[in-house]
Amino acid sequence: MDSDSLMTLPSWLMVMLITSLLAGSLMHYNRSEREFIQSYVTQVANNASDAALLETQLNLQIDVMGDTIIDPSYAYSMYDKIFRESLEVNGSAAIAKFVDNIAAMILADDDGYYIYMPFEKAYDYVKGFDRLPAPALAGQWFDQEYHSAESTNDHATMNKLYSSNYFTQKIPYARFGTYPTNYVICDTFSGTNILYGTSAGVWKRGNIYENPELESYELHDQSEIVKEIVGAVTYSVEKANESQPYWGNKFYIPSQFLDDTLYSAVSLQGVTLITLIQGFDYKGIKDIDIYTVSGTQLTFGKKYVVYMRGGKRYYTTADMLPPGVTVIQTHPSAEDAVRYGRANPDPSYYRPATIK
Amino acid sequence: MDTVIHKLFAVILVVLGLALTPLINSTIIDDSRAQRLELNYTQNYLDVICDKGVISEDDYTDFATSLSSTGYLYKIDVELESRRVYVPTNTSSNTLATYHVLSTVFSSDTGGVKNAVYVDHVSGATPTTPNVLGRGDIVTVRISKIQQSRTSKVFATIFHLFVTPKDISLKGMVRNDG
Repeated sequence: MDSDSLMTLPSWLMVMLITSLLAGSLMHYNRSEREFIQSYVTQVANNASDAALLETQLNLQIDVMGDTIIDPSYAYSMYDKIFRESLEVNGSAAIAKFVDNIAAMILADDDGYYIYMPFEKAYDYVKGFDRLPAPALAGQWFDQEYHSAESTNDHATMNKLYSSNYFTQKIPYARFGTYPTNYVICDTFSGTNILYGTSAGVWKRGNIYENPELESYELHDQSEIVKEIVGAVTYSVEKANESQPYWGNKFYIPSQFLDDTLYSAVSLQGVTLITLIQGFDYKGIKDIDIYTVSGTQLTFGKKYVVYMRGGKRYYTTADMLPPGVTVIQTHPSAEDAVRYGRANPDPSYYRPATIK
Repeated sequence: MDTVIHKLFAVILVVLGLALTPLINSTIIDDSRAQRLELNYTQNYLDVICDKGVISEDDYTDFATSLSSTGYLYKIDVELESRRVYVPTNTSSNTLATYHVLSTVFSSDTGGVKNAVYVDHVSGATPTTPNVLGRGDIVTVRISKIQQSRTSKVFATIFHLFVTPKDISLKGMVRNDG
């Protein structure tokens, strides 16, 4: 019996077995690394989205009409800061790359929304609105400087104006309905009707200046608004893919995202930040696609005031303030009025039970 | 002579195949599980800080204890960037400037929370109630493995195929006042 042939066959088998085992473990390692890095980057993006929304909220103002005034550049800068500094991806090349990776970023308010897009595409988007009467009017949604630069085709000025802030102006959830030209009407969730006029700020029907009557244009229906938002996201992703041909439109809007925005608890009644990041490259793991949704709900409460009456400090709500007293402090809640204002509830508003 | 060499070779192969490869496999699985746990615990700790607005010693101890369940040693850093709003005294200006100050760094090397000193940037003095954060502050929790498993070292250095992030750093914004 030839011992050589007997020994070599099992040994070659063993070599093959070990090679396959090592290759298998290597593949397992590769997959687990990839999954870990993807979940890590997703977690970081979630934190960034929450922080960006909170930063926007801290800089939010509410005017007398109940309309929220927000600056979307806060959201972008904070998202950028948290995302890149968490992953420790710094440097000008990385910043430029991250800007390219944003497929869509939408900051939705209760009466309108902002889209993050390079300026020319955003201009096309607004210009292409069927709800806007004429392409010439669409330019009025942008700054006057942009408009003048656009008319003279001054790309250098436009680049300078919009290089730091790629957001559009607020695009209202508006419908034209049967109204004639020159204005749109927007209806908000808070019950107030906001009017958007022409650049001259005058409401005009025919040759007569008047206030148009307000009607509801099915804008209390949240599903209409969500359709609007999803349409904007789709447009943004498509445009981003056009400018990045190597992506090849491979990014699909995840169904979970649609479920989140359409059917579940994410409400567009406050400020909502929706971000889609496409093809992010981190530590050699390419093609990381992330979507994040952060939402708030805007509710209106009553303001509590602290005042002096008869040498004592009392608090009450602002609409119940008795005449002839001077307000010392205002607080957002009764607890704060007690704690920080050192005030008692006003006994003149008590209704003690009458003794019979 | 030939048969002896072959037998030796076969024995080496058997040892490799039956002992070493399962060991490597199990280390890989341990590694990936430890990574997941690290990420989860770090995110959990960050959420606790951001929700409470307080860096307390109990939470830090919980975090360190749960991290030790992965079986590795870690260096824990917590950084705080406090939010300052600059209101200009010039009445014609109606803008506020907001900026973040990298005010505090504490590390597990210096004994954790106990030795952390939180300096008030306005007065320059140590405040009476330390470790209390405000809404809008940015907290960074960063952990880095002191000890790394043999497998990940081998794979990272020799193969150069997969670069494991040795550090996990997560940033979050404090949501509530402490």
